[in-house]
Amino acid sequence: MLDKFIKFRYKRVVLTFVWSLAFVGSNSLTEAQELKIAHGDSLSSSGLSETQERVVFDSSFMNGPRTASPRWESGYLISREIETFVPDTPNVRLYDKSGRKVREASIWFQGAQRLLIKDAAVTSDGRIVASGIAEKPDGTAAPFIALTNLAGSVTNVVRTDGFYPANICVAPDSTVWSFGGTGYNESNRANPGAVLRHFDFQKGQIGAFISRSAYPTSPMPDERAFIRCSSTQAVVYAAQVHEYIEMDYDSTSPRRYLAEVPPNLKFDGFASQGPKNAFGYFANHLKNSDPTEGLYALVFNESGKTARWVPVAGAVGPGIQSGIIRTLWGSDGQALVVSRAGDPAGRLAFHWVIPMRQQ
Amino acid sequence: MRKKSVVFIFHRSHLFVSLLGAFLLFSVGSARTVAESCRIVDSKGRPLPSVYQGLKPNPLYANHLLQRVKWSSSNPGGPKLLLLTYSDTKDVPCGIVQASSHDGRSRPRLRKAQFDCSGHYMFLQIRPCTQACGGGNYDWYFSDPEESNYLAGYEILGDGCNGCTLEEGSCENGNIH
Repeated sequence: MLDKFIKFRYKRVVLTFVWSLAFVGSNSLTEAQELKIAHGDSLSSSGLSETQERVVFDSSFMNGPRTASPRWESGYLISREIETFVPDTPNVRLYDKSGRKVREASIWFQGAQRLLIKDAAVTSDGRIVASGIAEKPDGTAAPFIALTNLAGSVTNVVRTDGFYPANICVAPDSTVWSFGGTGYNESNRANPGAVLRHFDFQKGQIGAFISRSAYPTSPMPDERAFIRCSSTQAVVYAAQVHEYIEMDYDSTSPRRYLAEVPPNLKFDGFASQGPKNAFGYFANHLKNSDPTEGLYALVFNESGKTARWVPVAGAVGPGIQSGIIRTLWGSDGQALVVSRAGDPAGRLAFHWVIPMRQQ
Repeated sequence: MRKKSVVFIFHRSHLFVSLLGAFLLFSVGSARTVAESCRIVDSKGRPLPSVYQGLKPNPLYANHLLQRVKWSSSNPGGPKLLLLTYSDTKDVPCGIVQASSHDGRSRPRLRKAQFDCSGHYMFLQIRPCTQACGGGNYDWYFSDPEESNYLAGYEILGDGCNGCTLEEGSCENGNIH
């Protein structure tokens, strides 16, 4: 019965989403654009090829005692426990495309009383990388980025000295980019330093960009921020400070765009598919049927150095409306990995959908 | 007498095997967390014997961490109780309330907690709502040394996860963000 439902509901269905002109306004780069999203099997007539099935994941990815919202990256769903108080407690888990847990790491440092895992990522060959803070009972706090081997054991650590790596991603050369914080001094002012940094497990910090002083003392720019690495650049969306950042690996200066969050919504998910090709999931946490919740795409105005989140028509609507995208887990090649309203398995059901802009 | 010796020898060998087993188990357990070949460097790439090498203790943060550890040990299953810091206005000292989190759709209960102002050390993390609560995410603040000297309060925004829990928002210098 369920199979029939799924076949009818999600297979061989082509939905065409058109970015709403009403939201586009007068932005010169936002002419009518079409976003097609394909579900299920091959769609040769439209030039889209999509072979991924709907997959129901092992529920353990979000049922830990202190689990953060997971993300999809490099072929894995990455799930982490924010706080760990005991050694040998798995605090980062990987799930593959079959939906099963395939790897985990128990990151801990001798002498710690608590370990915070702020973010986790994965290398191209499947090794877990995690950032966080190791805390001793005397209040000593060591911010770090750790690399594990395929058995889940920590092999390399960079202590990030005065920089709190709240968000990380792994570049193709296995170096790590982080968008984080510098902490506060006793006068409640943000400590000086860069918020976007580049680390190497052998050399330590190898790059630092964008001064903390570019942002107000509060809110913290690294809260509700996401960073993603592609083949050519690291991309950040920092919702608290309304900024989208692109940093090419071969560049010495980031490109920054003012990008406001849609009214009354919170930024909950992010995916980058290359330069100026970013998607976000925005939700109203306190109102279940907000018609503006769902998947948005960024549209750029290069001359004004601004960008705008534009709702993807057909992918935005009340969360109870069947088919609406409810979660953006991340990007997988040309596809976005999402969960959708109306699926009997809820958020445990992952769907691979392909967006295509036609201008 | 002979029997006693045998028993004694058995006990000694048993003890030896037990200790050996415990040692091996400990070794394997350690290997899962930090490999023996683990290399730690500082931000300049200089090797460190320990991740804490040269860092200063923070008594203020230590006090808060102790409270957090105590709370955690009494709630090993995690967020059956959510710690929420509440601030009416900037003139009123902030205090913590505890809210029960559950999978049903009834409103959570609130009650006063034992200690104050731990929200000064908190950092936003986005957490998934349970399936029974209809999916989606909610905001939860965790103590964090990044803000250990930064005086901020927090406000309860209202029901999150369709009423399954409460969502907390930051309230910095009297302004809600």
